[in-house]
Amino acid sequence: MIRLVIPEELARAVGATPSIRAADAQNLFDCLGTLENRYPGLRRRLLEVDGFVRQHLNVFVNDRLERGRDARTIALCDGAEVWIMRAVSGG
Amino acid sequence: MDTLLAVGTMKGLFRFLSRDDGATWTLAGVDFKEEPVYTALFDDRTSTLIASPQSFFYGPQVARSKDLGETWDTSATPPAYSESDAEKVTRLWALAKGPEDEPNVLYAGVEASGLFRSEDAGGTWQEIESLRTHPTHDTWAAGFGGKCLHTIVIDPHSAGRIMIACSTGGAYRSDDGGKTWAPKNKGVRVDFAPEGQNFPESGQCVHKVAGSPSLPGRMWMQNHGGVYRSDDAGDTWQDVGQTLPSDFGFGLVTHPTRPDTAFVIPLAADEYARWGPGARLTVWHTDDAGETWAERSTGLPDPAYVGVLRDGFRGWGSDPLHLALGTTSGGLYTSADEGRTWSEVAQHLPRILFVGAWSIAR
Repeated sequence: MIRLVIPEELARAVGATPSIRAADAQNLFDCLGTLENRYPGLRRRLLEVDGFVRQHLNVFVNDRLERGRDARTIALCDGAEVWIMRAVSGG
Repeated sequence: MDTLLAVGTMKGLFRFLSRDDGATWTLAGVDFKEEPVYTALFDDRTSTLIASPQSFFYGPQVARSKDLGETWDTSATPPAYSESDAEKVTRLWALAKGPEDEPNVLYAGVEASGLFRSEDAGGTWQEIESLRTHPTHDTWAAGFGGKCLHTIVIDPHSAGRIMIACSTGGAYRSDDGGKTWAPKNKGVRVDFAPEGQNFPESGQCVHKVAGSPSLPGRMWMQNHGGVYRSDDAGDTWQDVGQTLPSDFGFGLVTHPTRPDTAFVIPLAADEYARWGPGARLTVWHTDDAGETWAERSTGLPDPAYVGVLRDGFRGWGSDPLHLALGTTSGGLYTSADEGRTWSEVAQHLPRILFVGAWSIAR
C-alpha cells in the first residue's frame, strides 16, 4: 500500500481525508489515476492535463523532494509515503 | 427585489447584498479567500451563482451555489484543453449565459484565449474548437493581463450570433452558434504596430465589448487605444472616443434601454501607471452615441492613484441604471443615478478584478 498525505482543504474539496491509502503503483501518475475513481477531481487539482505536477505544489516521496514535474517519472516503491504540499511560491 | 454585488478580488469573492435598491449594502460573505476570482455570473434561469476561483495551487475551478454563495459545490470539471495541446487553460476570464431557450447552456472564456460551452449548467465544458483553429489565431498574443478571451456577448437580437473579444487578438463574431468565426475589427486601431500597419484584420488589443439590448446591431468597444461604436454588429467600427480625456481604458457599460448611452472610465494612456488622467478617477458618459462625452464622478475619490480593470465596472437595472465600480486599490463604489453621484460601499478590499451585479427575486 502507498500512503498519500494531501493538504486538508484539498481533502475536503474531494471528499477525502488528508491521509489516503492507495494500492501500490509504479508512479505518481498511475497512483492518482486509480484514486480518481474514489475521489473525483483529485488528479486534475494536482496535475496539469499533460500529467505534470502543478507549479506551486511540492511532492515528497519517502522524505525526498521530487524535482521532476512529470508525475509519470515520479517513481513509487511498494509502501511509499508521498506527501503533497503547497509550495510557498503559491501565495 | 434584492441586489447581489459579487466582487472578485485577488484574494477572494466578496458578496454584498442590498435590500433597498442599492441605497445600503451589507457584506454577506467572503469566499475563496486564498484565490483570485476573475469572473462570476448569476444565472437567473437556474437560480445559480457561478464563480471561478483561480487557485494558485490547484488551478482554475468552477464553483456553483444555489443559495447565493452561502455554500458552494466545486465538483464541476473546469474547462481544459487536451493533453496534447500546446496551450493550457490557466484561468477563466468570462462566463456568459446561453440563449434563454437553452437554460443549461453556458459559455466560458479562458486563458490561453479560447471559448468553451457547457450544456449541463457548468458541470462539464467542451471547447468550441473552430475559434482557436481560425487562420488568424497566430496573431493572438498576451497583453499585460495575459492571453485571455475576456468578453462573450450573446446577441439577443439574432439567434446564433455570438461576439467574443480577446486581448490581444481582437473581436470575432459567429453567426451560426460558434461553428464558424470571422474577425470583426475593421476600423479598430492598433497603436503598438509600425506605421502603416495600424489597422490589421486581427490582433487588436480589445479591452471590452458590449452590445445594446434595445437596438439590433449597436455595439460598443473599449480598445487599448480608442472607444468605438458599431451600428452593424461589429462589421465596421467608428472611433467615437476622440474627445475623451483619454481613449485608453478597460471598463465599459451600455444602457439596457437607451442605445445611444454608454459609460467608460478613461485611464492614462501615455504612461503605464494606468490611473486616470491627472490622477483622477472619473466616469464619462455619452447620451448621443459618442458624439459628446461628459464627466460624472461626484463622490469618487480625488486624487486617486488607482485604475479600474476590464471587469471592474458594471451596470444593472434600467430606469435609472445603477452602476458599480471596483478599483485596483480595493475601493468599491456604486451609483443609483446613472453615475451622477457615487457612494462608497467599501474600502481596503484586495485588488478588485471583477464586479458583477444582479437583481435577485426574493
